[in-house]
Amino acid sequence: MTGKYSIIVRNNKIQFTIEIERNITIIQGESGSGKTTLVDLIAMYSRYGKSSGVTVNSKVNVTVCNTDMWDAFIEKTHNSIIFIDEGNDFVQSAEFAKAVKASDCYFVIVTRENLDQLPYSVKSILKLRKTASRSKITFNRTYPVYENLKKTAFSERSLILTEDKGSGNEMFTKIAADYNCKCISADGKSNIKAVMSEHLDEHMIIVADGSAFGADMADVYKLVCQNEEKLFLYLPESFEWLILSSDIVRINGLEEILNAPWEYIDSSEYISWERYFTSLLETSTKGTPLQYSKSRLANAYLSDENVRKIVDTIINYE
Amino acid sequence: MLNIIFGDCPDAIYNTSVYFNNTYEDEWLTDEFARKVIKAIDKSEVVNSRAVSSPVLGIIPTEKIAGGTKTLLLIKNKPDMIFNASTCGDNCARYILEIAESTDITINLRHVMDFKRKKFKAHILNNDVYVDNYRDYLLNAVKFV
Repeated sequence: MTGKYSIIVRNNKIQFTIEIERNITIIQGESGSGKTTLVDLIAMYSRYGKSSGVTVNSKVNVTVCNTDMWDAFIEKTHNSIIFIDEGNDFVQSAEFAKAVKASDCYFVIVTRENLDQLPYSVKSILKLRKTASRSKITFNRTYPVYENLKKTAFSERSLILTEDKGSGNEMFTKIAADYNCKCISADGKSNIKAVMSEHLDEHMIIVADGSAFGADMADVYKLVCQNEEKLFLYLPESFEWLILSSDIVRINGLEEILNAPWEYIDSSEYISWERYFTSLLETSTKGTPLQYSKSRLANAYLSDENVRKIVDTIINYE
Repeated sequence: MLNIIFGDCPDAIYNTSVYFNNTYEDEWLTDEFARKVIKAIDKSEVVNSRAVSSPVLGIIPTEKIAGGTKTLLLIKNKPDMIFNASTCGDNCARYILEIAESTDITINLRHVMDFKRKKFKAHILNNDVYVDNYRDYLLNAVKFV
């Protein structure tokens, strides 16, 4: 499934507006914010249709998975947005991750747990907030949990921490050399917390693929909050997105893709945007001096001009 | 004392909402603690042990109160059991600490709850470490979730 969706769910007392642009969305937030009420309303609509008294405005089918036979449910459901409420422990399993990967549906999961098996975006972690009350109806809508992350410039005192060794680390090692600072790799995103814990009092810029960093974000963000003057997150969609956004590679229609990735990224083909951008960059540069590989960065990317372009994109990134 | 088990915990009740609906006692709803929590978390008033008055939804059955509220009432009234407190938002954290001031409780956390206080005491059972401040709690917690 592709596309960006605005879903409005309401009865005569409460209305929810949910904005979804990726295949996996997580809803978190405080107790009492209406998460279960939202899922209950969709479940009633799903079962009884209009006769439920619930109205659902959506371009695609919206349904709730609340059965022990979740795997069969997901397998037989197509081109739909599937909501899953808190309390369903199967969302933690590798089998569920496999089912999501094989599905052409979008998933909206209510949970505060870190779903390590799923590559979901930091930007798709949402919370519900009441926006207004009028005519006896309370209006609620989704907002990103993590927005307006504080930025910093590279400097001599910086320590740059990347997720992995490989291409991204090679680029940031070059940037670090240019700024007279140091770049280290966490050797896997699940190690970032441990490395950060050892360097909480240093000026550190943590670089990770935002489109697949959702499961680690809550803990990493809490660590950042321990020393907000010195710890900073830089979370582009992915390193490949950073290259594509830096005017280094010429691809027909690239600007349109970067402006509205949801129109081009089919969730049944790519479990995360990171995978799509990697594929796009690999395919587009094959056989050229800029031939891209995740494990080793071609020298052409490390020219002074291209490194400057990457740094400019980082500086201007919102 | 607040005891915490981070991560998987087979002894804990995972789906606290279902467990609450099938086990709560009427008197749990009408004591001072329940009234206070329901007012703070659900923004609602307890009408009686079977009904709550919500400003949004009107009179609702007790089974419709927030999942976090249900978990708090379970922790308070069944202190010998372990419940999945990751069904509680951070707005429930102060009430967990309040219960732990007078009762020994053990909760299961599958995420790092923000207790919104710099100083509080907890015993992390995964590594048998006692912490008395948020930073030490956080640095231990991230090892296990």
